Amino acid sequence: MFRDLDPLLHSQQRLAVMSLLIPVEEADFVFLKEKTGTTAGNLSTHIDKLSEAGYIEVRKFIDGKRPRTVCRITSRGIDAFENYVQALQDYIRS
Amino acid sequence: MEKELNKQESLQLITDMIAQARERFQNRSGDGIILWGYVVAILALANFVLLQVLEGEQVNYSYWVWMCTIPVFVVNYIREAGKAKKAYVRNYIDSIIGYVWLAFFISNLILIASVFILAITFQDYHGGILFRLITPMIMGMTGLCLFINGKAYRFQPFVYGAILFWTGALVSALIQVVWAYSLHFLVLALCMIPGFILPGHILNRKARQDV
Repeated sequence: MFRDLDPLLHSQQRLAVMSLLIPVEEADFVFLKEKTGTTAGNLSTHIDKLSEAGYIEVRKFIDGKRPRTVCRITSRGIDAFENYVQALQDYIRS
Repeated sequence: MEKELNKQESLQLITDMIAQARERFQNRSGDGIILWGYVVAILALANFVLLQVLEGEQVNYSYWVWMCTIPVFVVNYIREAGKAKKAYVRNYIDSIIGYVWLAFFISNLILIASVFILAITFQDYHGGILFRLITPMIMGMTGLCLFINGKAYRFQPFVYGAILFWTGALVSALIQVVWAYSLHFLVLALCMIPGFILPGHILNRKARQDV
C-alpha cells in the first residue's frame, strides 16, 4: 500500500523551496528566488502556503532601509519532507 | 502554469536543490581569517622587536601588545554578526565554525589569565617556563581550529594550515631550547602567512566563484 504524496510538497516550486531549506539553517527570499528561478509574486504565494502549513518559519524585518524575508524549515517541515521522500522512493522501487 | 512533476523528476529536483544550497561559500568568507592573519603576524613581530629593544624588567611590558587582540576580536565579531544578517543563506556549518572560533578565543583568554595568575604568584616572568609555553599551546589550539574548519568546509588549505601550525607549535618550543626565547614569535609570525592569510585569500576567490 503506497502512502499518498503530500499535495503541498508535490509542486515544483514548493518542493524546490523545501529542498533548498533542508541543508541550511536559514535562507532569504533573494536566495530562494534566484535558485528556484521563479517570480517574486509566485514565490511569495508558495512561501505563504508552506508557512501556513507550519512547514517553514518566515521572519520579516528591516535591514537598514531594505525589507528582508528570511525562511527556515521547522521540525514539522523536516518530517513532512522526509515522509515525502520516503513515499517517492517507495513508488520508484515498486 | 507550474509544471507537473513525475516521481523521478521530483527526486532529481530535490537532489539538485540540496546540492545548490550546500556547495557555496559566503562572499568574503575569508575576510576574518585574513584580518587575524595580519593582526597576529604584526603583533608577534612587534613583540619580537620589543624583546630586542627593551631591557631588564621592562621586557615584561612587551607582552601587553597582545591586548590589541581584544578590540580586534570585538570589532570582527560585530562585523561578522552584521554580515550574517545580510547573507543570502546561512549554513549550519557557518554557525558551528563561528562557535569553534569563539570557544578558541575564550580558551585563549583563560590560558593567558591562568599564566598571569601563576606567573604573579610564583614570580615567574619573562623567560620563565609559563611564558615559554603560551605560544606552543596557542599554536596547537589554532591547528585544532583550522583542522575543524578545513574538514567541515572540505577546504584543504585550512588542513595544510593546521599541519603547519602543529609543526610550528613544536618548532616554537624547540627553537627556545636550541636557540633563543624571542625567536618563537618569528615562528608564529611566519606561520600566519601560509596558515591564515593565504588560505583566506584562496577562500575569498572561491567564494566569488560560488556566488
